[in-house]
Amino acid sequence: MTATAPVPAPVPTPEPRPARRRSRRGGRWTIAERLSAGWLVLLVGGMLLLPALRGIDPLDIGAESRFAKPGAEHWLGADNLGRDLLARALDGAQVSVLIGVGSVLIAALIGVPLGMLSAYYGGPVAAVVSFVVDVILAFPGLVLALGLASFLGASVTNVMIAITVPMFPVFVRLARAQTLALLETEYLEASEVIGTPVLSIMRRDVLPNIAEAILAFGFVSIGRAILIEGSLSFLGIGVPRTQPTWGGMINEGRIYMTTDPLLILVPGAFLLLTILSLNLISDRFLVDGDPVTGARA
Amino acid sequence: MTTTTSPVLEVQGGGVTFRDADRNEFRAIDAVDLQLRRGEILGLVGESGCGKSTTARVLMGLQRLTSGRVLLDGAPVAGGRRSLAPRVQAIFQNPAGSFNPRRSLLDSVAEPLRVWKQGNATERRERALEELARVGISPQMAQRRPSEVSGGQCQRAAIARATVLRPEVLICDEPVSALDVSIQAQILELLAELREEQGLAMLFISHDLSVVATLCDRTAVMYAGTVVEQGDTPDVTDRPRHPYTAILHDSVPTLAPSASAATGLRMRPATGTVDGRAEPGCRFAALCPLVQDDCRAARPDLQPGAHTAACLHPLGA
Amino acid sequence: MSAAVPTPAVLPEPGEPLLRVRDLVVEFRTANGPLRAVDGVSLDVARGQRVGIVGESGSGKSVLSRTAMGLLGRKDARISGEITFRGRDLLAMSDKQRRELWGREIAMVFQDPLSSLHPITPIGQQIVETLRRDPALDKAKARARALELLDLVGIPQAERRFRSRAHELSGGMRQRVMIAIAVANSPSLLFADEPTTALDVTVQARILELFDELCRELSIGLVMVSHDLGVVARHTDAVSVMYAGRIAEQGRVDDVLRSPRMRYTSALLAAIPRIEPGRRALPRPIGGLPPDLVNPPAGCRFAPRCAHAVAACTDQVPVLEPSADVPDHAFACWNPTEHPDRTEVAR
Repeated sequence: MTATAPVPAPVPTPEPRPARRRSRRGGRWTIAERLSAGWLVLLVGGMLLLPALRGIDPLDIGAESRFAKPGAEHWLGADNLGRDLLARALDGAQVSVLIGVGSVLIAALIGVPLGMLSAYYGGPVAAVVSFVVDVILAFPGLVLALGLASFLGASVTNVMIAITVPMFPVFVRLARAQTLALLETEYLEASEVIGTPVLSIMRRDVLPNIAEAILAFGFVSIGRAILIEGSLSFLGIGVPRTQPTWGGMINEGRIYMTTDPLLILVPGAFLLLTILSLNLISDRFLVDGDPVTGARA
Repeated sequence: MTTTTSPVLEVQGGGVTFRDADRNEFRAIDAVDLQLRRGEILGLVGESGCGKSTTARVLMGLQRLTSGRVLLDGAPVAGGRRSLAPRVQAIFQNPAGSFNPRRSLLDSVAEPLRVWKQGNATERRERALEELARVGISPQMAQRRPSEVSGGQCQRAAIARATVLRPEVLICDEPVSALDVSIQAQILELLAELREEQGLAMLFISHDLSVVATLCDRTAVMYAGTVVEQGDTPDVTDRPRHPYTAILHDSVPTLAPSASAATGLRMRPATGTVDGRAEPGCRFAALCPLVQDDCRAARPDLQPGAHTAACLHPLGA
Repeated sequence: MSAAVPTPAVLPEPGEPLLRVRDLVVEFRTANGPLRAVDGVSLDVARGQRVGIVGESGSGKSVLSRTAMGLLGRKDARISGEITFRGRDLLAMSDKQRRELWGREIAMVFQDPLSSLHPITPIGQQIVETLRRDPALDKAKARARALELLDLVGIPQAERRFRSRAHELSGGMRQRVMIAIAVANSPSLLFADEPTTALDVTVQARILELFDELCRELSIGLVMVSHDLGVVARHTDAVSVMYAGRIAEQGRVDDVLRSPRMRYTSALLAAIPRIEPGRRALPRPIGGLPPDLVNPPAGCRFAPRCAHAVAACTDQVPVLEPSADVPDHAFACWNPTEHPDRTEVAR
């Protein structure tokens, strides 16, 4: 028709699709969300207050209370050594929450700036970053975590490292995709024309506008981190065995599964409810749910 | 209207070549010469893909030239946008889209002052409010976010943001294309006022020749990556020299059935996709109704002069 | 509000009009209350007639056309009034009945052909598929007809383009393909919603000429929705100017655009930038903003922005009435331009 530039073909981007900017934040809370938030508040409250209030040591062994049924003394029963299941689950919660929140925070602190900057600068910076990301994501996340944990040895710090390494690349991808979508908007160009320094653009114009998607993904990731921590502890290569954890409790309770299912039901329920709640809460930030389909840590 | 004053901002022989993943080269713009002078609005008109936005991005400092140079006050501009920033500002096509959706208009208008460390927070606020008032945005409206005001109001605020640093040059990339006719006229009036009051040099980019014809002092017509005609606006619109300009002029839907000065030229029907940039001779040769044999051989240059066209056989010659 | 059902100003040719819209009201529910996007609109389209609907954003022109096409139904909005297509009630039709009309008797062309065309299926195939909705047509015949259609809409080398995909074509070519698909089954009514807004002006001119030819040769009734008065001025026969959900002025294009009576129409015409030989004059803006349709002003909706508003304008709704001297030119204005100087407005 006219002698114009060749029309560029709409090529599907290899990046994960940027999450739609359709947050329900500030909207009404659904019942599922209220229950989820309720559980998380209960968990954190119980974790902080209950041991002090009831004065039960999760490590206290008592022959008389072995396999005790739930009752006034042991609200959720006791295990094969007579240790209070509730106290142990709440003590395990401390480790789980610490590792879950901690490793996600570190992963985000490393991944988000890398993703933002590689999207902004492109070129060799982006090439190096995406090569590293691709290499790490070529391993199944859990396998990589397993390998790292067994190599590093059992400790809370090492578990966090083992979880962070396979997780941060996903934050890189997410932040990169979100930033690339923003780069299409005129307001970043407008900021550049004003003469705003790059770091200031990142902090004031990019970050606030991708925060929602990152936050949503962060919540889901906490759940995943807790799950990985549980798996590592279950396999005995996570947190030292002396420290009660949900995964460790399930591992220890495994042999009593048929006779005393409470031993795995209690930590299992804590694990399930917590992860479910985190996933549901993340929906508040993003209607579309998991923003990085197919690119999970 | 031929001015003898030296240009504030100028691009000489400007070329930008993009390379895609397959190493195919694409010459977005080629040998572009433009001069912006104080108190003068230069219209840059052309159709999609002609390179006018790339030219705008070059002058905003968002795009580096691969050949040629940009001069500010006659001195070559080295480095990126921060070497142009306080003196060259811009407004964009999408009014709401050129504002951070999470910040109030006031915040965004005060932002350039913050970046260039002018005054304290209170003074910056005062200055921003003053600038917003000048474009007709009330202090109350200034508190709103871009999504809470109309497109016209956003574009007014965008003008306030661009002028708050008292720049010498304003680059306007399709600033009224997204607006309704009645609002478009308001913005055009505002830009004309800026030219009178602040003596700004402006580049006004549009796909719409009629908008350019009403506002701009001089007009440059772009086709397939280069300027094919330029001169004082009435000369270009009333007595087009390049056949493409004539066709562009005639294509503008007018309200009167028999429009003025219709040359009756039409593009020759093309048999496939025509890429003017790939032509060895004149870029318009494949579509030009007046094409002659020599047009396909040599590429005509835009000669210096008050009203010139890059055409071997210009109209009215 | 308005007392009697207004009769449309543009009288169609004798006989039943193709499309008949009477006192149409389309109301959406919003968080802030009901929003009347279309408020008491009447309109006729005859066979072979080209009808323009012009207005700025929020004027209700797109809602009107979408409702008239049957794209917006009772499940999307509160709709009252009457829309008939060849005497059949469009609003009462089932989805199935409506879908049978689309692509056969009613066709549409939208602003963005790229999103309306299938990205992978070759364009020739897409035309063939539309044609094959007629079971009498076999494959070979459909293919031959598709090639004819590509030729008809001015696509050179139809044989080669037949296998092209949408993204391989320029914007103008895509819109031509859309038009070929639209007219494939010889519809009697064609809706074109901002069909050239996304196109370059030199391309636009050709596409508009194509619409003219098709209407003339296939005697298709055309409803052209546009924000561009220039597009409507040269390429339609009758026009309805809409403002804030109502028809401000309606009549033959020559009457409405050359001697506008309603103040909004004349203000809008003055706001359009024009190329005038030997003169560089800025268009005259209309002050203020279009009204909020959730809380529209009482009386004339243009009154708050109107330089000629009188007392009646702010408290009484002006009725769309035919003018005394030109019976098929109607306008809704309490203080119309009295002796329109034909040369002043349209140059």
